[in-house]
Amino acid sequence: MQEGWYEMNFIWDAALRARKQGMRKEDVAYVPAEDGSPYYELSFDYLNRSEVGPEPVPVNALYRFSAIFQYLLHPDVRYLLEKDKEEFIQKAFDSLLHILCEVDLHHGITRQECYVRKLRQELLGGVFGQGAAALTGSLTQKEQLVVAEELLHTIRCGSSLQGFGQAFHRLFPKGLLYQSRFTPNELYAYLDEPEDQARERAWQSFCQLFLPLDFSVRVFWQPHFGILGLDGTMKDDIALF
Amino acid sequence: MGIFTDEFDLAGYVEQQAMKIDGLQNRELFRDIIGDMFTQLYQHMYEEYHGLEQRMLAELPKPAEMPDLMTGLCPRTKYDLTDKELYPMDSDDLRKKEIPAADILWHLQKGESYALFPVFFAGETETLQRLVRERHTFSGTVKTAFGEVAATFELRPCRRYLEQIAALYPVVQQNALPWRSVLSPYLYKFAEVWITSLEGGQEDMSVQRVIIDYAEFRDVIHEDMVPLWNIQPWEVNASCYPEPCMDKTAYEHRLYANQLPAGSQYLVARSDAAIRNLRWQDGEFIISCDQRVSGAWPMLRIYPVASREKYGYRVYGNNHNQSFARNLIESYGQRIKTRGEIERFLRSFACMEDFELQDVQLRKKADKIATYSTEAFIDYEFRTGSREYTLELVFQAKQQDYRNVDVLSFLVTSLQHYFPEYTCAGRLV
Repeated sequence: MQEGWYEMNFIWDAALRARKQGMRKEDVAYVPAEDGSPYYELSFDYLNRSEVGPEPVPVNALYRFSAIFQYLLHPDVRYLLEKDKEEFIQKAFDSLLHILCEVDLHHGITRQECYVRKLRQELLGGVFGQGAAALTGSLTQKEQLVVAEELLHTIRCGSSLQGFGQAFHRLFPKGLLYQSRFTPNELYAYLDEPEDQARERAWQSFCQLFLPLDFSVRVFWQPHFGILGLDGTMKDDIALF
Repeated sequence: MGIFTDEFDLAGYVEQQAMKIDGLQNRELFRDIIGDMFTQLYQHMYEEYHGLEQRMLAELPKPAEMPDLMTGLCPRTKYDLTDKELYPMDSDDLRKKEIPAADILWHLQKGESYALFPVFFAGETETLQRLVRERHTFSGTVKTAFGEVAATFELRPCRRYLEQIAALYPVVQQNALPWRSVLSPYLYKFAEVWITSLEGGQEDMSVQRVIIDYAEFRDVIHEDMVPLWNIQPWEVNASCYPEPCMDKTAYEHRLYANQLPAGSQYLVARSDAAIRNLRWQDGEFIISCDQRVSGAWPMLRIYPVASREKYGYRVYGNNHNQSFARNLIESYGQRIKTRGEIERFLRSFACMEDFELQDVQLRKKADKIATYSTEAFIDYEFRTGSREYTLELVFQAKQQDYRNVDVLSFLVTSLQHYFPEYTCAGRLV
């Protein structure tokens, strides 16, 4: 599914969206929706909204959690019985939704996810050597999890060219991987990104983690190498080998 | 850091939000109910998550393995008999031995040489091997009650300690545990001093001292050194109960917990009994075998060693750290032929902390192999000489040390188990 296209439906949707926008969990506040739709948990003004703003997120808490909130949010309670506690009710509602959101966010945890995250922790801790720790440390959390996921795949299936290719495409999405026809254990990787020291080190560590010992790989950073018969590659600025 | 990395800080949030409530009564209520009660509830919830995480990770069994073996070295006079970590490999080493002059003369007259005592060579193993190979002659004197007699000496291989290590292999097998190479750098640096000639001398003389001039090796050859390990022979009395087991009788020998103090690990030493099964049950050790008569079982008690250095010498062992990745890899049992995996495997051993793995190459032919096999006694299991490729590992030592090559040899030999299809070879740069 294309990111940022679909509407937000649940409180965890909003939390993940806020995270992507660089907001912390503390920056999101929840308020009871004034006129919430019975079909949606989040009650933004329009349905196709895809971003969380600085203003509080209106939530129809009765959508999933009516058993919890039916007393607190009952109009009799809010406007008649406990009118003087309105401020408390607002803040308590917000805090409780933060807790419920945490529960939501753990809903999809599986053994796989647990293993991946533990491997990420051990990668960062140097169990796979300082090079791998430095590589992982220099990546975003999302990429770190990709490395750990691919590592788990390698542990499950053994090291292979297939596994290397898969990890390559996930960590260097712009790159192209070629295999020599004459010597099948020679690979050529075209990364399509400017070569700098940090990326060079990242590439080295990546190969250490995923490249099977019996393969060798030659890397091309920005200029692609020319391939006879493929006009697109035979431009002015080509790499030679 | 567990697997839950972005936990919401509810307590902090409540404190921050409380100040935004203007009504003081409301603020207090908020602190009491959400701040106290719900923060506790929330913490409890997370503790349960962490517990779940621990249980999920612990589901993977730790691979069964033989106990960690540690080795050390000690000058004979310095050994502390109350030591609860390291014991002499041969307790006779602690006694000063008499040198029987008559025996020496008898052998020398027949044109044979005579083994006097072992010495420790605090230098490169290769240098010692060269001295032995080239039959380097040292001169010296034998001091008797009547005066001094000139003599010549030679260093020859001292195998007895290494044979003790080799003797552990069938023991470990008998205990149905996978073998792990033993890191014992000191044992490769022992040589036996042989007396090869004596100028004069009489049968009735008594040898008081043998003084050998080790010349340029004066500083590295030490006499009266005792190799230590964390093993002590341990005898345990057992009661035997016949147990019917479907179509046969199993004779179960029970070794009670009070004879097997906790904290140590135990192996059944080599025994003639046909052992079928060994198991621990409620602190008792049960040996099932075909032997009906109860009696004492020879065991090996293996002590945990916390000291990194003892008697002025570093303690070396084949101990390695636990990691989740290791349990995972062992349980899936797949072959991972990457440099990262080699690094992980080597890095798991405590002794790897002194080295950096600089390069790993598959080669048709390796040049300048520095390492030797620390398992020469089971070389036949690796079918040496028939492999097409050599896996060459280049290490960098953090510090110059005469034991470095021996430690690398252990690491490379351990890796050999992992890659039986390659000849693993290491070298230092």
